[in-house]
Amino acid sequence: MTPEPATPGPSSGWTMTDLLSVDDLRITFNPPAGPVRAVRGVSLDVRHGEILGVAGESGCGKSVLFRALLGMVPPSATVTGSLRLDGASLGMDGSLQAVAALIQQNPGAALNPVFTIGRQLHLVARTDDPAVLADLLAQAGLADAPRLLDAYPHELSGGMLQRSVIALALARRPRLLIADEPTTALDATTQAQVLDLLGELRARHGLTVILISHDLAVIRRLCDRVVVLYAGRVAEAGATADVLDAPGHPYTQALLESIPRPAVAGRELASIPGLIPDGRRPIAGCAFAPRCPHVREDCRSGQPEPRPLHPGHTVACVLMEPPP
Amino acid sequence: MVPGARTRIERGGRGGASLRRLAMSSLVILGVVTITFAVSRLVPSDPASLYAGARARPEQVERVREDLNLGAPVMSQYVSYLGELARGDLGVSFATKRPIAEDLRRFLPATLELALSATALAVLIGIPAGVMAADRAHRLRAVGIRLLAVTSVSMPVFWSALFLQLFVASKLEWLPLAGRIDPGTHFATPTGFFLIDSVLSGSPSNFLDVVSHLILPVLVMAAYPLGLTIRLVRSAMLEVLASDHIEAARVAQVPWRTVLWRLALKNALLPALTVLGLTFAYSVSSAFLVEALFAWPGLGKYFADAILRVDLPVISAAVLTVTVVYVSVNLVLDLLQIRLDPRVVLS
Repeated sequence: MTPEPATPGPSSGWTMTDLLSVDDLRITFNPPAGPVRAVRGVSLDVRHGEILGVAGESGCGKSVLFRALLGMVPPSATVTGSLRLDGASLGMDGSLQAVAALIQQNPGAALNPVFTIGRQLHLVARTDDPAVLADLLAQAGLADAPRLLDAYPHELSGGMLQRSVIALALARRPRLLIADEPTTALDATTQAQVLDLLGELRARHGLTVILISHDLAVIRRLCDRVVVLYAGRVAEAGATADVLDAPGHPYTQALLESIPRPAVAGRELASIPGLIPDGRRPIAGCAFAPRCPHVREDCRSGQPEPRPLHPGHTVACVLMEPPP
Repeated sequence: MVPGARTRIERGGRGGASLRRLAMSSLVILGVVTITFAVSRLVPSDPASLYAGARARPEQVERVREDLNLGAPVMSQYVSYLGELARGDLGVSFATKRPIAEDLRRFLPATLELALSATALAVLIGIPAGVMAADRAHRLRAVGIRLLAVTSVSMPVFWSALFLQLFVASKLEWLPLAGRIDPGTHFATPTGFFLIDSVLSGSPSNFLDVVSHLILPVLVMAAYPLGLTIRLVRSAMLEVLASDHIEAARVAQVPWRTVLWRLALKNALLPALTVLGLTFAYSVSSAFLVEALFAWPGLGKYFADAILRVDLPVISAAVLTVTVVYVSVNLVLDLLQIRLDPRVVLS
């Protein structure tokens, strides 16, 4: 199912295979204390029928990026850039909501606690036909669907809740599922089941899925391509196998080294020294430079632009360029 | 989500929760009865001489002591007091020698009519206004409502009452100045609630007379609970509107009206409900001032007179009445909360 890397990689403009194309997206929050640049020029493409992983540590801007595309950032935030759906320009005013559904991180909070699952499905699906509603739950892998329609969220387990959330997401027949850390709040067994379900839904309905996750193991398991974000910019993007097996960006390399592995049990877990940069301060040069083991003199001046490592795999790092 | 929640529901269920609340309420009332009884026996004044009057001779006082069974051991007095209460006998006023239960039947409906109307007004206007005040889609309207809320919370009762009486009643002569009905109006009052009685009388002019007398005191009494309700509902709504499930509903393009008035409001009502009970209690206890200003023949003046005369049985009855009203209102709210919130099963 891995699509052919037909384009030199993300940020190359719309091509026939793209469902969604984001160009130079910038998001700035404007609290009284001063502007916070959460996303600082992200371009990426989402292809028809693929599962695109979006990776990065907390605070790198991955959640807010897609909330902005959905028109869900507060009106006080400044959003610039362009969004295209099937090649046609689309406003970031919520227009994307017509074709996209959002699956949130915490299924316990994503459902309204004082309405039954059936009632919530009814409001979103705009039908109260119990057969249709039960079918949505069944598609999300919930066996005892008719009984669950009358259940309240607090009566369900975490896995059942996340499946109900997925059923709600399916209710409006979306083309695109945006799953924001959909398995973070779940235990390991349920995680695997929910990930398999997302894969099945893509196969069965031809859905396109964006999987936002800080967990590279989750992304490796499910995604065709991956975009690694750092400090509101794309650090690296490409086919999952390429990026995770032969990472070109020092940040991706560091992320991969900090995955706990049973094979090296007993050895201290690697972590990336330092913290992500403060979005309130302007960043000169590469945002990862202060934490980078390969930092060079020219890293501090000028932001590195994405360059192809090989077709379909881009890296935004000066290491890609010859030393000055 | 919460592991304990499910097992508790299986054990008690919503019916069990309601029964527990009912039992708790009865216990509270029994506790208050016991305390008022104890206090009436502990105060440094002799009930017998209070009853007999200031100029009674010692042997008259002794006869009263025997009549009222005040010489008996305190425990047996307590038991017979409980027995009388159970039969609906609240005793006799020391000052007027009238049965207190009869007085209450006359004054309680007048006060309840006022307090219930005021609370109903506060809730019926306050909840929708609170929702609108939290609606960022209509910023100007929201600001206007918040201004109204602050004004009505901060206006003292005596000031608003006098202002309305001066302006609306005296100057414009749109509404009557005071009282429950015109002196010339007469109809049977089987319930004591004039709104109901006037409807039962079958004459629209009686009903209009009652309503026109109610408007000003109800407005005055409703102001504080109204402002409070608006502010409570607004802050509860703002909190709910920031939650994940509302974001989910918005992304799913559920119409904003539905999000606001159904999905969010049902969540926001829960925290607001608890405090609404307190505003009703406020109405009952603040009734005295409003009743005094509008010459409203209710409990406020009756109880205030009793306190000034150290009329112990009436004071006990007053405490008991307020307790029963308070406990009943909170019971109703608790039961409502159990209905509204599937998660509430408190032990």
